[in-house]
Amino acid sequence: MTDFLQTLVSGIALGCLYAVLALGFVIVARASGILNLAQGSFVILGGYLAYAFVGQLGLPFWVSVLIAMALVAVFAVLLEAFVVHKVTDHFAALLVTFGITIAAAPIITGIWPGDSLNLGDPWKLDVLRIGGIGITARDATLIPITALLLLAFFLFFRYTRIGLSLRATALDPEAAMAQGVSTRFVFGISWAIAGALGAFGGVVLSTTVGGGVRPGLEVYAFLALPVIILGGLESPLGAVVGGLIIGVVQQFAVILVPESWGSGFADVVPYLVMLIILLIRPAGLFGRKEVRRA
Amino acid sequence: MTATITETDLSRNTQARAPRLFGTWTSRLLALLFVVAIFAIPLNIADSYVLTVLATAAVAAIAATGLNVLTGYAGQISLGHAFFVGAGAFAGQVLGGQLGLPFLLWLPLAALFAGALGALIAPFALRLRGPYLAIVSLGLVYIGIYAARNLTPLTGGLNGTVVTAPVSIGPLDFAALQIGPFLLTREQGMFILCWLMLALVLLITANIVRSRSGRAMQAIRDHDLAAEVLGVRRLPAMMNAFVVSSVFAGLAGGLLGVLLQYIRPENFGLDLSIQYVAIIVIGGLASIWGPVLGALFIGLVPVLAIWLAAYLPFISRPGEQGGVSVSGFGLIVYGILIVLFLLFRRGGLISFFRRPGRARPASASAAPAAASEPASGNTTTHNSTKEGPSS
Amino acid sequence: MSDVLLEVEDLSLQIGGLHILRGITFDVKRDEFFTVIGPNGAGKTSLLNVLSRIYQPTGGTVTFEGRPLLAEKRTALASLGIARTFQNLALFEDMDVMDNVVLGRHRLMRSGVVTGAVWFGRARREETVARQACEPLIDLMGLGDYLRRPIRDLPYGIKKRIELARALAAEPRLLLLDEPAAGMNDEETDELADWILTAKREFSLTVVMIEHDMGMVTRLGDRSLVLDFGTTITIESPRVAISDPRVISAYLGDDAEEVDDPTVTGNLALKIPRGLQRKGRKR
Repeated sequence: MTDFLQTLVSGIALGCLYAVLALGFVIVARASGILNLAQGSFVILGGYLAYAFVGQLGLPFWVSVLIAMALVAVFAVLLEAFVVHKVTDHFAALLVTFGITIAAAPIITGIWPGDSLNLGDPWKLDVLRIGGIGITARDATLIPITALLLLAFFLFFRYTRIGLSLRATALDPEAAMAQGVSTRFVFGISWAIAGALGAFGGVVLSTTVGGGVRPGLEVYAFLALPVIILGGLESPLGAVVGGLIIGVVQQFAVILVPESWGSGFADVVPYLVMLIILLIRPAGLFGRKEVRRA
Repeated sequence: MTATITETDLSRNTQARAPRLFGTWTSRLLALLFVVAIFAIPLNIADSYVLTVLATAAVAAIAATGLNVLTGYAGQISLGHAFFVGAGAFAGQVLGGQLGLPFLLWLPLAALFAGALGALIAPFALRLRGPYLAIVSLGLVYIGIYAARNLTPLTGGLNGTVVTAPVSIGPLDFAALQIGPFLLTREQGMFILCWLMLALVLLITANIVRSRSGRAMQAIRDHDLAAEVLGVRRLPAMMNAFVVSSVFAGLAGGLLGVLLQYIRPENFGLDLSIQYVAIIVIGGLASIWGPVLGALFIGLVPVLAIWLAAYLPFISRPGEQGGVSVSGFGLIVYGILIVLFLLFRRGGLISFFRRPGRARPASASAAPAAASEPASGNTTTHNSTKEGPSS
Repeated sequence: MSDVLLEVEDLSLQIGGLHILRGITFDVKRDEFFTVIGPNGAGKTSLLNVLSRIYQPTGGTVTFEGRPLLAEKRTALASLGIARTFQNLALFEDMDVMDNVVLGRHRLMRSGVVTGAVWFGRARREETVARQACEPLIDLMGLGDYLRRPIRDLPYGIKKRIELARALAAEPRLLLLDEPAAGMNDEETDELADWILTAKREFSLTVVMIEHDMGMVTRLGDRSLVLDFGTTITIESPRVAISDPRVISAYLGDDAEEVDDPTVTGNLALKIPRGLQRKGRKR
């Protein structure tokens, strides 16, 4: 039983991480209507910037994280305004955002070389024992923080004027514009949030427990793509539910899958789940069927 | 010189005949020169490094041509092309090396194997409109590496495998080609083999593009509703593109195997996919010669990087620490060029060689709008699709 | 052969909470030139979208040549004998004029990707046959001079004709036109009307046309279905329709006082300001 709970808890923690990463994609998809593969660059930039502030400038951890999130948010907004916005179709936008991540990652790892840098997070390798279950200090903090973040997120969307503008624009951009909602503003806010979320995800991934600040962080963002297929490309709720499901399934796969299936199976689990979903319910759990206009 | 341009054949008298690939004397001459060069170059260059780089570029062009059919002509973005190349490579070794099948059997079979995988996967990703293929193909790369690492008897597992598949057609052994009194080195022979195969692939692609199925793909790319109303069914058109692209990728994989003579799972990761995407975007989407130009260009980048490493402090040579590695440098160049070309020169490098005002426009598809939007009712947000009348 | 080609009965379309079409009933006779008019947002394009199977209606039936149309998929339209043009043009701009028109022959051709790859043999034969079939069409639409130019740079009016030619290449019996004159001036509109009439005559077509340009509607149309807010206002001949006070008030809203004076000719074409008449972007 404790094994089961143990796996469940670590699955939930992984799921929280997936949810955060997936939300970044969903927000931009809702606002700009594109799959923003530059999300990967937000992740790696966030991790490395946090490292720079903590490790090189000696700032307190949480301050560094917040500054990193803010800076990546700015980067995201600038990216949208000056690069992505110039592209007029989804095809090119996807490739352009992909190109950004491709170029950004080696630049970042070139500036801060090293296979695994120490983020200097407060959790280090600590493991807490709660009722017989071991949970890393990072995960123990991650789960409530993610829950809070998501709560703030949903409250923001439902109850603030800005959140309302975002939802309105997502539903019917022309009507929203007619109501005085500036699409530029909506895009800006959405990308800023996506950037901040990505950066936060990058920080979580770069903790000591996570493996340190390292090259390849940007690929983890892509690991969240099966989550949005499962949850629905434009559904924030789907990102959370999907993230949790995939996180839990993946952790159970780690312990349940026989040795003969080889190493690394757990890492492809999200993709296998994705293939299954595409077979039986391609729009995802909360995805909408599209309405075409001629 | 592009081979698929509607030339003077579309004069009033011969309109009914479909334009010939080599309808003008210029195009015929250039085609002849191309074939001559395939033999002339290796016979005059003995440097095995240069020949291998060029042969590798040809193989990359074959793979990229496949990707171009899918992404350029059919408008579907795939980030997992490396998966199919790897499938072809390992299948080639199994069929040609382990089972000892002759070249004329193992190479086509390896290509068809990759194509079969494509046929299997396509329905998953192509049923819905939206960026599904991009996402699925990304996953394929990782699934592929996992499979390659664990199917050890077939692939050699983590360490990969030597490639021993034969490259001879009857008495012609490309590894030790005899032309008259000359005995060619393996590199010379492989150069000829790879470039001849590229020529064949280009021919086939040009044929597909000017025929019914090629038109269908482009129609779905540009206006899928209008195309469907005309009777073009989306899924078959997209599947055709996907299978063709996978077959070419498998072919490239098989050739890559015998070219490199050693393959390991890591060779077929995301970086390779990125290279192919860079090739077609930089070379020119939806063009026949674009991938060739792009492959030559991309092939030069690592060479350039190594040369620059001597002069620029932030580029490190293999073994050095710090700075950007040669492969990292390549990725930076690819990423930046992808962005720049898509923003400013959609037609790619090939568009610099086309005369303006030709019947088939120089620029690649400006807005294959149907291809990659998230499935939703909001088709008018932000990135609007093509507007109607131009002035 | 029945006189009636298309029968629409009690058609309703609801998307989200919006009632886009409500209880639309009309029929179109063979060889008729049937027009659909009404103010913006009346549901005209949605009606065409239902007929061309882009939308699935929430209620009602559509019968084409005696067979239920709503059971058919979009991709079956060409084989059934229905073709349409689009309001914002849906040309495949990266292919040339001939390729666009030949695409209309898609359902009449068979070669697949392998045959195409080989080219010699069936694929080449089919291409030749298809092009031969399209040649007279291109001549008829006066497009011969434009074959070598990239579509992108062609004038708007020429593009409209190309799209028309493409639709005709599919050998339809019913032609659906969505605001063909959108964005055109008087001269271009007259020219286009000529082309449409020529096509109708040459190919014995039945036409259903959405239009805002009342001149074109009265010149070409046999009958007009007037829609407003998704419901039928009336179905009558265009000249009668544009004098019908119900139609006038649908276009002008409640400012109907201006037209109560019987000495003023009840001609809608004169009363509706240009902007309202000619919806669509002037480029």
